Amino acid sequence: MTGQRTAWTRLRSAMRPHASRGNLLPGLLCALLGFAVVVQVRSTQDAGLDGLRQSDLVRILDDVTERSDRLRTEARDLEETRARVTNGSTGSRAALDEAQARARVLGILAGTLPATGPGIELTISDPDGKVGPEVLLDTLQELRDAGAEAVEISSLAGPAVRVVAATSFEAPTDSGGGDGAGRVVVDGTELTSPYRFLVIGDSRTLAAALDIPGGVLDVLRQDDAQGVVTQRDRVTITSLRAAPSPRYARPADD
Amino acid sequence: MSAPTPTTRSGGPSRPDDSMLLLRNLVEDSLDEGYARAAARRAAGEPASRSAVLVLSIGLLLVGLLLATAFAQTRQRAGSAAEARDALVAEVEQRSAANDKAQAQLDRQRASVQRAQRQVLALSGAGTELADRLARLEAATGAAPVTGPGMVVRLTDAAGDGSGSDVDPRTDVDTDGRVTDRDLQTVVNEIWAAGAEAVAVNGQRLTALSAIRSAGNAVLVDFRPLTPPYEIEAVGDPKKLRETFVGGFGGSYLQVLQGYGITYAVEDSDRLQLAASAGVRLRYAAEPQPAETRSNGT
Repeated sequence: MTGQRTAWTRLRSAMRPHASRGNLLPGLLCALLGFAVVVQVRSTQDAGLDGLRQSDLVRILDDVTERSDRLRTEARDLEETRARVTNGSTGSRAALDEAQARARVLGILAGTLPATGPGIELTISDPDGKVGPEVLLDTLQELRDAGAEAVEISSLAGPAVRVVAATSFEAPTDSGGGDGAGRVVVDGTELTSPYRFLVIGDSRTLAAALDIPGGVLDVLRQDDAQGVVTQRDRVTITSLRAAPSPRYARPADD
Repeated sequence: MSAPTPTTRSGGPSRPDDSMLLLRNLVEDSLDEGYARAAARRAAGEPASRSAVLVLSIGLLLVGLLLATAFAQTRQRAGSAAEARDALVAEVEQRSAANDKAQAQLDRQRASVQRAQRQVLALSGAGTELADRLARLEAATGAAPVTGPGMVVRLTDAAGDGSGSDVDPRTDVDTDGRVTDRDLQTVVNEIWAAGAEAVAVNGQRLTALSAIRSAGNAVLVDFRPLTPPYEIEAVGDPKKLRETFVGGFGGSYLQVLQGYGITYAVEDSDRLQLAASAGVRLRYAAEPQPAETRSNGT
């Protein structure tokens, strides 16, 4: 029993505060540490409430600046066009040339004309059939964000679909061949994995955009699928669309 | 391992707690020999070694210095970061407003140039045919403003400050009750699938070049930050658009969003007016020369 008593006595004496100069410094440090922790917590909360982080703001500023550049360029082009078209002697010839050039650009966007240029080829193999329409949609958005100008999506061994503004991705509605795994319906055409994207644009920007952490290639890896990007000096897209014939959208004459 | 041979075994009656020898040792002989020596030293009035005190003091001083420096730096950085962020926000807002003004002016300018162009083209048969083709292409690609009947889908963030608990682990962004770029992408995808001929999000016309992306909590369309609520206007057959969209995956998706407190409305419209997109230019893609068309083994 004496052993137990001494143990408790020792414990009590250890707990009893005995201030000495040696305690002063650790005490101060502890107080400082507590203060620092509080400051850290508060600044973290502030960032959450304010919403956007600085890096996000910088990115938005970049985007906004790019948009104003585009607006300026287009305004200049329009001014030149107006000058050429309204010139009395050569106006009609210029107007025809102008309209033809514009029809070529719009024809590429509308998919009625083939297109060629630098770009990338992206193949997505999806052995487990986990890649759904939302992944392909996200891939297209990422490519557009990186400046894709013309895109074709195809089954490696099957049909190809020229991507336009109105392109949509859907899960197959029928149950033919199982649960729809490894199949995606693009604008009404059923494509099967492996898929291939042919993309025209700045090849390095396109490839980098797919490879960012948390980006398309990462997402594919999480789905046990594999995306392979090949940069090309020249990509030629030959799949075409029928000429558009809008039934409801009328040119707005303002 | 050989069994311990407690000394108490050698003589006397065995204690009932013999099997807990280790515990007994801990309670009765808790001091190491080192402690005992130190206690003896202190009892003898011997002072602690000077070098040990010195090392300890310097070490603690260094730790304190480190903490103080870290604190000072953090505070300084936080202050300048907040300042820089305010400046950035102001810059973004100012440039966005300037862009909107430039965009409106550009729309008027484009309309007048296109009118002049059509007048000139109308003078010849080939010109008239080309003008018609252009008009259809422009309507379909988003290069010119269009008007027509259609459908409007409105998405509004959940009420409150949106500071919920659901945080997107990928972007570290709080997404609870907030319409994300992913949501808008999906809804727009379903609207196209329902047969829309032209679509605009918060007045931004969508083209084959438009991306719907996010930066932090902000959703961008065509490099333009949008402010909620989000209004998606779609020109097309109102009845078919609505039935296909609401009856299909789009409708179920809206229901899911509603579960997060996001409110939505789907309305028909007799007449929508969609602006032109400013970004219909190509820098990399061109029409191949006739010989090139078959060079790429598709």
